[in-house]
Amino acid sequence: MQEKLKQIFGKGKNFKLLPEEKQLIKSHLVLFARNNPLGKTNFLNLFFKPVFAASLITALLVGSASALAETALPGMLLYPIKIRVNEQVKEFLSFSSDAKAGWNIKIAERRLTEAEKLAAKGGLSFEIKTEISSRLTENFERFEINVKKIEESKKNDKIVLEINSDFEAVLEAHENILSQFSVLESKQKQEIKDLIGDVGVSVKRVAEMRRVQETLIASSTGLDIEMAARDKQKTARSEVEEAVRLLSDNQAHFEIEAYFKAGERLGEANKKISEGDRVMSEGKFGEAFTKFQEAMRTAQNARLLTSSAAELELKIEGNGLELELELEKE
Amino acid sequence: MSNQDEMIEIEKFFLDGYDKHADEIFRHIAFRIFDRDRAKDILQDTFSRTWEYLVKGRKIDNPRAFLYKVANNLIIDEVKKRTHLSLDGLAEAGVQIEDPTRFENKLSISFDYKESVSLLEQLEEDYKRVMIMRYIEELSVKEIARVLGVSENLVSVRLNRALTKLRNLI
Repeated sequence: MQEKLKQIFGKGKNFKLLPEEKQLIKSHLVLFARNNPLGKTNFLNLFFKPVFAASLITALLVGSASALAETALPGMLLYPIKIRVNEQVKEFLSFSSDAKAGWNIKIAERRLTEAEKLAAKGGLSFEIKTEISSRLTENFERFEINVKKIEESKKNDKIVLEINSDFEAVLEAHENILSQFSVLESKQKQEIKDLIGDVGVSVKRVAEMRRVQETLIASSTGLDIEMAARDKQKTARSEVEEAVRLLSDNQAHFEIEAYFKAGERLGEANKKISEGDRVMSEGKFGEAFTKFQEAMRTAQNARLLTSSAAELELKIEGNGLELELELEKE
Repeated sequence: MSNQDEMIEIEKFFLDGYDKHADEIFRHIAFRIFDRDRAKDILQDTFSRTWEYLVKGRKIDNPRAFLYKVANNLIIDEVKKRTHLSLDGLAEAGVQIEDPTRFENKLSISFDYKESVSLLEQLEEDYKRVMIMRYIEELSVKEIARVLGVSENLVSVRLNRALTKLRNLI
């Protein structure tokens, strides 16, 4: 048997990175290292070592500009570095479609956070809003392409559902945050309203994609989906617990009504988990998986809303959208 | 030693480690998750996390063991997300076990690894790990124990259990 195993597995030793793949990953790592230098580097010391100074200065300056650009907003000097260097490099560094799709979600979050930070300062002009909208649309198209590639190459409905669900949670949370601004400042009201509209369109599209996957998974059977459902159950519970803790720690960022509404939503998430537990005990693992995923989406939404409110120093009111509609009627 | 000297040394240590161990770690990841592109992402993450560890001023005495440990944590997260179909699951789903294209798509290289993948898929993660290290990387029990930070006895037990499970399939 030992000989047979050596014969079978021995071929595995030939499985390796192609030379160009190995070199490409190495170059990615060098880029990563340059952007994440040693923490205690003292710039002044560089000038005492002329032999290394040139290359190190270049690396550290590039690294520094790149690091500074991370906080840049549209209209700032380093913003193009953030978009064209930092973000494109990160997307370029990913090999798999799931990693690329994950990065698309991150990019959407970055654009929307930029819009919110500008709105908070009264700086969301028509031109900047148009630029952000255009980047969001372009990014969403890339997201759809990457999801399609995952569907075609991996045929793993659970991963596609999770990715769509995560994106939906992010977009909904930011739609809610933008709604808060729509009633606070009338100067940018139209720009914020337009952006909310754009985000709303993306939410609908992602939700539709998510529903398709849910339908497929809800009816699936087998050991695979059972294991996935059990794992999702654990993840959903900890996601909801984390969201509850974060909400409780950041109560100051919510008006009373909004706080209770957020709490109610997390209560609904817990109900979904209980429903998932029940159908799982009946052996309906596909259905259980989708219920746990829904609970996670609600919790993620609440968590993102809370952390954005804390970061932007906002006070979340009842429901921004409802308030906006009331103002329009006036 | 000045900061820039330290950084040069760290970078050299890091890139030497990459040149020496990248293929082995990549192979290990690929045979655990059966996805070449994703294996490249995880390999990259393994080394970038190692870099982050180094620039915090921490020392790595056994680079190979450290890399395996970091990679294993990432693999576990990945496996939880993917939950690859066992052959039982495949059979229940109506997929023919001898479907060769499944393996080509998974590893995207060659049909040569079909048998290896087919056997490894039968095993739990702890057994898969030691089997890959023993039969693909050809490490001794002692070396595996050192890399994993466990006793040689535990490695032997896991290998024997894996072999018992695979006996009927070969």
